Amino acid sequence: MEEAIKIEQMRTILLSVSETMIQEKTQLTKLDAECGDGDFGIGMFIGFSKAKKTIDDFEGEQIDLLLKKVGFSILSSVGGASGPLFSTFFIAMAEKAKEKKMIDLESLTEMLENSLNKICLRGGAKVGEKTLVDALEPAVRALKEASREKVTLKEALERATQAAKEGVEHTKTLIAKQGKARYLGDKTIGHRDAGAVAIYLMLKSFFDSYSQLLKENIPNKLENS
Amino acid sequence: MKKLINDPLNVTDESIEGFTKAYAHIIKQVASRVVARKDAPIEGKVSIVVGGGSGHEPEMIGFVGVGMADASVYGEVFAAPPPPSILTATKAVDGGKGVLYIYGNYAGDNMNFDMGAEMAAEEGIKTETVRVWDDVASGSPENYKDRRGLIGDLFVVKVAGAKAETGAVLDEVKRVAEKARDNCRTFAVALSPGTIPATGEPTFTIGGNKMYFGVGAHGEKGVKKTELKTADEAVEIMLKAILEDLPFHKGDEVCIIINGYGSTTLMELSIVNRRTHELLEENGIKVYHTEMGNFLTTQEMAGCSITLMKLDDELKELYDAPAYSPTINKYPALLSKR
Repeated sequence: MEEAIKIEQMRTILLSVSETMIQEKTQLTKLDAECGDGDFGIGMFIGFSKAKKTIDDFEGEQIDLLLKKVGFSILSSVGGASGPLFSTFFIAMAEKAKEKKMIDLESLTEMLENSLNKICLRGGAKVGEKTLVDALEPAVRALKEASREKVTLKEALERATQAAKEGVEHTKTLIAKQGKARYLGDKTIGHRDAGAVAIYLMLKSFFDSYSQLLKENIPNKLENS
Repeated sequence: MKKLINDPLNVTDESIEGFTKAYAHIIKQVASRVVARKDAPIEGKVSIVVGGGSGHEPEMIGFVGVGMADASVYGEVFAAPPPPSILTATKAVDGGKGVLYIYGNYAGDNMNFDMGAEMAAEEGIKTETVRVWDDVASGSPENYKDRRGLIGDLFVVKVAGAKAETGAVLDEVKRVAEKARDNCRTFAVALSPGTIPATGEPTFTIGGNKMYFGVGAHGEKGVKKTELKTADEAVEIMLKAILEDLPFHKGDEVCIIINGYGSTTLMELSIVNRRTHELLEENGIKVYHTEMGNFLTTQEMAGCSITLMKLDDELKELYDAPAYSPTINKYPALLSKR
């Protein structure tokens, strides 16, 4: 028996992630203002508001199509540096979810690893440059390890969230090498990276929402396939 | 900060609409965030698309016109436009000879315009890109590609726009745009921050009697905070950084921009310009032409920037060529020969 996420649950989870990002507008904007130009929260608010509407209106059965539509909602509405990166997050997930009726731990790991790779390719960032990569990369690493150990999806998500959280804290020690913050050099030490915080909040919301679904006992078991 | 606006989330759309109505004799709105010159697309001419975050008016929307850019595409306040908008602008002005993108060198603009270019390529439109990186305070000379774009793009667009009007091919227009860019240097100072309409938050904080040197156009923190200096003292520091960077030499001829960031008065800019001319003359550098005013603003930020573009015969000719736009107008035929 394995746990997995079906289309209905993915809708609920993505709605929860979108609502979180909408709610965190002020916090993300404040964080961005410390080292950047302070518009990050607004971009996320606009993008995830549109994503939320897309999810509400979505009537299909394909998980990859839902993820792709969420990505394009962000891509077409946000702009800035965050638009291409956060839309790539979902579009890259969609690429690895093709034909899948359910997402198990192995699939989710593959999907988020693709997000990480595609984001690095688009933005040119590497680990340690004080970007969202510093939260996403440890989360993906945690998922891969959890996948090898064959723990439950819930536990894997919890570990990934924790790894992202630690990644966020680690960004405090890093000097920004990307984006508008890089002009501040070592003055960026002591500040958390706003993009990394956003990734953590998304993963945490993903985990919280999935845990809630388990509690509510909505059918979520995938018969051995 | 008090602002005369409606819903803060509508400032970009409402300002584009109002700006276009004020200059309806030159420009037209072709999509929600895209403004093009009124007679676009022009068959057989290379087109120029500029863009970036809104909130810096008249940059970029005011650079659209004859002998300037063919279209401007906006994102949200201070945020690069998304790729589908860039594609819309590209398709609206493509005259079959290709499209040159000119914009400031920021991560967001770079990624979105690159994705826009990929989408344009899928539709069979050839594009080239010139990123402007004129801000000397934002990176060492060796790492010039890390530098951000300030108001130097006004010169780049003027030169490239003039070249495109001659019927030149895309590579030639790109070549002169790069030449203008590579001969441009800017340095900026700020006295007080601007605020983002949607949050009401200042883009940076600064003590009462302090000023920032090397500040970014989006209020990115400056490289050096000092006590407030006199205009003459500030110009000396700014010009020193600029002159050493290219470097500019005795005998050079330059165009300059004295740019105000929003709430710095024309009186103050004139005082800055006065000392700039004096110092350049002392250094044996001849000022060919001066542009003074609010070209790249950051809402109500107080401060200014100085830009120098070193000229050669080609750049001078393109700089003097006719232009008709909300921001820059050149009517060479009206002048007696200099």
